[in-house]
Amino acid sequence: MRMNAMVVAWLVAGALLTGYVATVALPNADPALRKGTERFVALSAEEAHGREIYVRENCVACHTQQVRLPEKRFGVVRAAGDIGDESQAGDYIGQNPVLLGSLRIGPDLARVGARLTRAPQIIAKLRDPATAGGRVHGYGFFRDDELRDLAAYLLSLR
Amino acid sequence: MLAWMFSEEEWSASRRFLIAGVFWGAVAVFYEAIFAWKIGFPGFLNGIAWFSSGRVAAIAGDAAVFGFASNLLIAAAIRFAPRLGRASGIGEGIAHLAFWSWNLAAGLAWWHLSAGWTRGRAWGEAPWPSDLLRLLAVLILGLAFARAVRRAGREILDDAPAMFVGAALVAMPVVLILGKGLFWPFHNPYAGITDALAQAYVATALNGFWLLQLAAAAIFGFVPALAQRPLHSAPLAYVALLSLCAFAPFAGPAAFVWGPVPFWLQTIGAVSAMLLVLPAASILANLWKTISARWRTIGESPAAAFLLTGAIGLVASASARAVVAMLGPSQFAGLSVWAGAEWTLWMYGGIGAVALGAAYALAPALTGRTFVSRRLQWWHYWLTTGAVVTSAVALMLGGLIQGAAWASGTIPFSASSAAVAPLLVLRGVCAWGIVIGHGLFAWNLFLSADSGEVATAAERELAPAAGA
Repeated sequence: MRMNAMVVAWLVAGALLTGYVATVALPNADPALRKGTERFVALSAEEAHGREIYVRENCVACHTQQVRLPEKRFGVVRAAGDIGDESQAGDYIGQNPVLLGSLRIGPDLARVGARLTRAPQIIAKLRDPATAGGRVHGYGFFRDDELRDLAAYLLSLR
Repeated sequence: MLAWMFSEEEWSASRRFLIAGVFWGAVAVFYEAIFAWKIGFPGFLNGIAWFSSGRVAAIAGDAAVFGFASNLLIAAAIRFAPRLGRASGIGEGIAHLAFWSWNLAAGLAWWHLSAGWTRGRAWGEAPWPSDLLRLLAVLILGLAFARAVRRAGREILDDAPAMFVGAALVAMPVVLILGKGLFWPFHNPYAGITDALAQAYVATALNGFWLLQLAAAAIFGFVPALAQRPLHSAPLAYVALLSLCAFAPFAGPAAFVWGPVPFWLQTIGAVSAMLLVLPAASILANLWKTISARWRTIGESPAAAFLLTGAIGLVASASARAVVAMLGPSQFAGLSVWAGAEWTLWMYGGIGAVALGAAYALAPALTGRTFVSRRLQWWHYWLTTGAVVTSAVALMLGGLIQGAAWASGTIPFSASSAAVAPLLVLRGVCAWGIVIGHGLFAWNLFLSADSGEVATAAERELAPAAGA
C-alpha cells in the first residue's frame, strides 16, 4: 500500500482546514452567536484592569466562568441554586480572551458578583486566604490597586 | 556532555533536541509538581508572583508540550525520517537553526509566562514571539524534510514513521497560523465564543496532528528496531492517519458539552472525540502485534517498555476524553478534576512515555555510549508509570466525587473540595515521584555520555527490521 507524499500533505492540510471552517469559522459567521444577551455589559476601566490581572494570573486554570444547562439555578456554590442562570454565547461578546475555563479546582465565577457583594470581603480573601477560611491561593504580592480592580471585576460577573 | 552538545558532526542536531528535551522535561515535571502541590496545599509558595498557581500551571503545560515532548520527538523524527527514506540526513546546519528557534521559543515562553505576559488561552498561553519562532522552526524542518523526500523519491512515505513525521510537519504551521491567529488582526483575532472554539481547535489539532503523529512515528520507527521484527501492518498505520484526519479537527467542541455553544457543534465535537479512540487503538494494536512474537523485548528494554506503556496511555487518555464527551457522564465528570486525569494520562502516561522510550532508544545511537545503569532505567520506568497511574486514578475518583457532590444540589462547593483534598495531595506526592524519576533519567544519561561503555552496533544503528 502506498500513499503519495502530496496526498498525505493535502489530506492533512485539508482535514485541518475543514475542521477550522466547521468548528470556528462557521460558528463565527452565525449571527445568533454574535448577539449580546442582557447579561452582557461593558466593563469600566477599573473592571477591565481587574480582568487583565485575572488573565495575567491565569485564574482560568482553576476557575470556570460557565454555568452549564443541567446545573442552572440548581448547582451549589454556597447555597442551593446560587450558581445562577445558564451561560449563553451572547454573554461573552467581545471577550478577548474568553475565560470559560475547563476545570473547577475552585468554584465557578460566572455569577460570583451575585454571591459576593462586598469588595473588602474579596480583597481579604485574596490577600490572606487562611484568615478568610478558604482554600484559595494567596495573592499577597498584589498592589492595593490591583486587589481593588480585581475585586471590581469579580463583582461585575453576574 | 557540553562538548557533544555543541559539536557539529552527523546527528548533532538530533542530539541537541534530545538534550533539550531532557532539560525541558525537568522544567515541566518540576512546575507540574509545584502546581500539583499548590493544589493540595494552597499555602505552598504563596506570595511569590513568579510561582503563583496560574502562572505555574501555564508554564508546566507549555514546557511539557513544546519543551519536553516536542524536543524528544523531533530528535527521533530527525534521526528516523531520512534514514528510513534512504535519503541523506536533514542538513545539520539547517536543523540547528530549527533547534535554536524552537528552544528560544520555549525559553521566551518560560520567561514571559513567569512574568505574567500571557495570551490567556489554554494550550496557547505563550505570547506571539514564541509562536513566530515555533512557526519558523517547523517551516525549516518541513522544508528540509520535503527536500529529503524529493531526493529519496516519494516512496519514502511507504515507511510509516516518515509518513507521520511528514504529516506532523505539514500540520503544525496550519495549526499555529489558524488556531493561534497568526494573521490580521495579529495574534488575537478571536473574541467571545469564537475564541473558545479556536482554543479548543488548537488543543485537539496540536494534540492530534503534532504530538500524536510524532509519537506514532517514534513508535513505528523504534519498535520494529527494538523487537527486530517488521512492523505488523502498514495499512493499520494508514488507518491511524486517516482516522486522525477524519476526527481530530472536529473534536474541539467536545470541550463544551452542555456549555454555551450550539448543540449541533457539541454533537459534532462529542462524536469526533469518541471516535478519536480509533487512531490511538490502531497504533497500540500495530505495536502489540509487532512485538507479540518477542515479548521478552519488553523485559529487556526500558525503551520498549516505555513505548508500549505510552501506546496504552494514549488509548487510556483518549478513552477518558471520550467518556466526558458523552452527555450523561459529562454532567458528573465535566469541568471536574477528571480533566486533570486526562492531562496526566495524555501528557505523561501517553505522549511523555513514548518520548521517553524514544529517548532511551536514541541516546546510545546519538552518543555512541550505552547507559551505565539498567537499574536506574527501570527505577525511572516504574516510578513514572506508578506515579502516572496513581495520579490518574486519584483524579478520576476526585472528578466523580466532585461531580456527585455538584449533582446533589445541596452540597456546597467548599465541601466537595474538602472531600477530594486527600486525593489531590496524593496526586501532589505522585508528581514529585515523576520529578525524581526524571532526575534519575537525566543523571543516568549524563553519566553514560561521560563514562558509558561504547554502544553496541545494534544500539548505534537502530536499524528497523527488514520490511518495516
